[in-house]
Amino acid sequence: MAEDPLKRVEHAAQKLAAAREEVGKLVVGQRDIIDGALTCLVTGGHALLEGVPGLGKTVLVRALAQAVALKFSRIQFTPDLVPSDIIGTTVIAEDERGRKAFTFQPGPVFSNIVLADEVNRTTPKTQSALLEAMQDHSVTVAGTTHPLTEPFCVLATQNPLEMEGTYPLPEAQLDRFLLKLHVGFPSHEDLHKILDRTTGDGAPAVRSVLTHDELLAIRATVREVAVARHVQDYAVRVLEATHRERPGASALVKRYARYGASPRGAQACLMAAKARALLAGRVHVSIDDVKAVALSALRHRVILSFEGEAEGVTTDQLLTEILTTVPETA
Amino acid sequence: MTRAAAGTESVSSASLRRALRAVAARARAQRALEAWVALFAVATAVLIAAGLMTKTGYSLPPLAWLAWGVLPFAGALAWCARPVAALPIARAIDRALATPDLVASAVQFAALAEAHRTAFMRACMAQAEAESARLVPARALSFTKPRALPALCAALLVLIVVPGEAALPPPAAALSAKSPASPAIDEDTKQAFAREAEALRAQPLDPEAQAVLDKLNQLLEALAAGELDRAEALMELRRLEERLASAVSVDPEALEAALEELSRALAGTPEAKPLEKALREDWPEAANELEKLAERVAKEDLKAGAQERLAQGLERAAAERASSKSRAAVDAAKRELDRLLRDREDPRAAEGESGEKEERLLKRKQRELDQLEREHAKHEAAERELERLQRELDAASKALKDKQRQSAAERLQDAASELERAAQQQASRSQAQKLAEQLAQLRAEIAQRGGQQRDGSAQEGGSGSAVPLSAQRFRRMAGGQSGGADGAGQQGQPNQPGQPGQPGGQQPGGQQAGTPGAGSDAQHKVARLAGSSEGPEGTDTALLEVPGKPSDASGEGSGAGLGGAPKDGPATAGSGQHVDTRVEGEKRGGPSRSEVIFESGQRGFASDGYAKVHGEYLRHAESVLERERVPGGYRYYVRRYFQLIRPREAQGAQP
Repeated sequence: MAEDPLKRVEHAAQKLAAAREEVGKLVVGQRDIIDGALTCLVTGGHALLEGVPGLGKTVLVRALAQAVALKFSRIQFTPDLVPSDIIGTTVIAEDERGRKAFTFQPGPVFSNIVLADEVNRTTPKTQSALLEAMQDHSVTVAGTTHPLTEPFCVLATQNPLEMEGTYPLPEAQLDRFLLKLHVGFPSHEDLHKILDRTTGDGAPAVRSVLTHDELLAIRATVREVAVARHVQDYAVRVLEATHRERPGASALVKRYARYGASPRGAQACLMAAKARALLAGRVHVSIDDVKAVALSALRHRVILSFEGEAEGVTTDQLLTEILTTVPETA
Repeated sequence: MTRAAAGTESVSSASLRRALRAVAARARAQRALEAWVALFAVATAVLIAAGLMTKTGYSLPPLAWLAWGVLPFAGALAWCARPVAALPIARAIDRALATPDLVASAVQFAALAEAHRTAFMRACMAQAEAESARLVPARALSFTKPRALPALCAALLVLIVVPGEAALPPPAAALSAKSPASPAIDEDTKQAFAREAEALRAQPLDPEAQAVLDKLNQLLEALAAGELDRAEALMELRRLEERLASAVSVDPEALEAALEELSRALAGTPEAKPLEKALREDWPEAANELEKLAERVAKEDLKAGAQERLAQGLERAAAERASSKSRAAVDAAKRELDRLLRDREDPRAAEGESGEKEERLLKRKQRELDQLEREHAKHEAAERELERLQRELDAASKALKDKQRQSAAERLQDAASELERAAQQQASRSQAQKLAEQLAQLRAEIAQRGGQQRDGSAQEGGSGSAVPLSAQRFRRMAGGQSGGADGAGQQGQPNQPGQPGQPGGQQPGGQQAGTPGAGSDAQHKVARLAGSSEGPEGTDTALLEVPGKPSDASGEGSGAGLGGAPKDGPATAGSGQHVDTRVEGEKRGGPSRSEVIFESGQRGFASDGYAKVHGEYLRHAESVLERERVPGGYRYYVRRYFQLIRPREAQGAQP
């Protein structure tokens, strides 16, 4: 770790860029989503990908897991899924000498990258089983806590359209996600590329460009990225501006916001900004980094009022207004 | 000027410090420019406003101009000297170098203690140092046009394009300008006085009176424009009256009396009969008669006996001396003043009376004495003029006795010239007298409008009797009213034929306005209301005769003055051949208070409610009149007003 920071940052940036390239082989466009996923990966956070079916969410996660050579597991969340299906359970096992004993059979959560597909389709009980794993990076079964292997990253997806028979994630669980990424519809050109790549005789292969150790080193590097006070102050002021009772709240926030983002939102904001700076090869965070990640880091932490929901106002609208009105320097 | 921005002291990197200093200097320069332009615009606006408010044009004191030029510079320098925050400067550098927040972060990290700096922070500072070496300060902070520049241009344009002297009144007039919002007289009054002044100007006037007339016109303009307040106007009027009084150095009454006596001295001389008559009635004609007499003497047109009678008549006329009552009055006043002074010094006498009262009396006597002495001086001047005439007549008489007809004729010619000169002077004095009356009227008008007509104004002599022009207009518009104390008609109704005057009748207008208090009545001019009626259906008119004859005795009356003497002479015979001409203006929405009164009085009011309200208001007004000290003339106006607006069915009753 005594290596020159600039070299470390440069190396990390190159590695991440390579991973991005590899993911890009399968996922056309969606640069922000790839960067967001990488951000979660290097900061130890989790991402909630929201988008209609068929946009390549699962492909993206799978490609990412391949690019970083990490253990990947996919959980398709259904209403009949139970917590033990995710975290694992104890079963009776017989050893070589014929003795039987209870042994822990780990669930799919014991991976480095977990794709929780359509996470809002399962019951809250099952969703909450994932909660401990996401927050503490460990699971407790039959009184025994089993730590998860690092890096551990949950990339959950949900469909915003089909709300019937779903269980929307509670605020507490949403807060556990570092970023909420909106997977948008690809552009006309990107659609052509998608068709070209997926309807041919062979799909492009994703190479593994980032080892487990390298990723852990990058994780350490991210935390060292320097943040000046004025940048941090900006992040704090943005967060405060989401609270309707605070003096700096805008008229839109006062009218449509019920609760503002928690302090975890500022943490997420700053960590994501650090990752973005690292991706850009910088040793310091800029205000632009904070601005770039603020939407995805805060949009799921601001709760709209009834009036806001009734009028179809989105948290993105509130945050966009906040980012344009809060001055960069106090 | 190359001080670093605040908070950059801890920056150790030379190149970074240099970059920060350069950009901070540009920021200060820009800030100073902004401040100078803004302050200069404000200073210019203040200068223009000061010029407008003081109405002195741009003739402001040099200090004001100095402040206009220097203060913006001083303000700009002070603004420039204020510290510049490091963060905006550093961010400006970052923008120029396209290194988002690199230099800004480095400056922040430099402020931390060395122990608290991480390797990444140091790396950031090193990177910032390396990047700052390629900084071009002008790219970081380019000079921009000051935001207040349009305002400054506009202000300067106003200052330059609008010339102060043209836009503003001359300083001399401006110095006396006070409140344009409250003119002391209205436009109608000004026009009325202006017409009177024009009429005076048409007649011969001596130069001093002419100058006073000019000043009066200027005063009227200033009053109508609201450039003078009432107090200043009254002071100016007093100055004009004093100037006019000093200009009229000869007492016209005394001269007239002396010539009448001269005329009586010629009564027994048939040859001078026309001269005798003309001396009483028409002085220019008397001068003509004297010239004719001189021609007759020169042409030996007179027989010896006639010459002898003429010589004796002229001798009597030359020997005639006017009785100097004025001297006697002055002497009496002096004696009275001496007595009072002695009494004041006498402690025994002082015990008996209140010292304050005595002091007041003393002052009043002193004023009376001054007045009398002024009058006496005029009287003496009149006597001197008469003496010159008499010297010529005496010389003519002696020449006639010595049978030197040619010399007598020449002397008579000289006497005629003297008389003609006196006649001309008398005419101009008469005009000056009218001018004095006009000044007094204007004073009363202003005082009445300002509610400042004090009871003691009559003490000054002559002014207390002046009835404001507006009051005269009011009386005229009120439809006519009865005349003097014993004067004629009953109350006239607006636009209705009045009753013929009845001697001895009482009328509400017989009191004089504004004369309570003791006054020096030597010049006390009594307003005389004389009623006149024409024909059986003649319209009663109220004629206000101002001024009256000066009273010979000094009066000490207090309270409202009584009406003047009844108008002498028989009533006008009714011919029945008059033609009523009524001029009626077009009714418009103009502010005419008299119109409202007229309409109310003419048509009455529809409801009984009005009668009730009228009664309540009238009772209240009466109680106030009883309770408060209101000048008699004003009491009359109040009662007259209520009389005019009384309900139709109650018109017969007196309020």
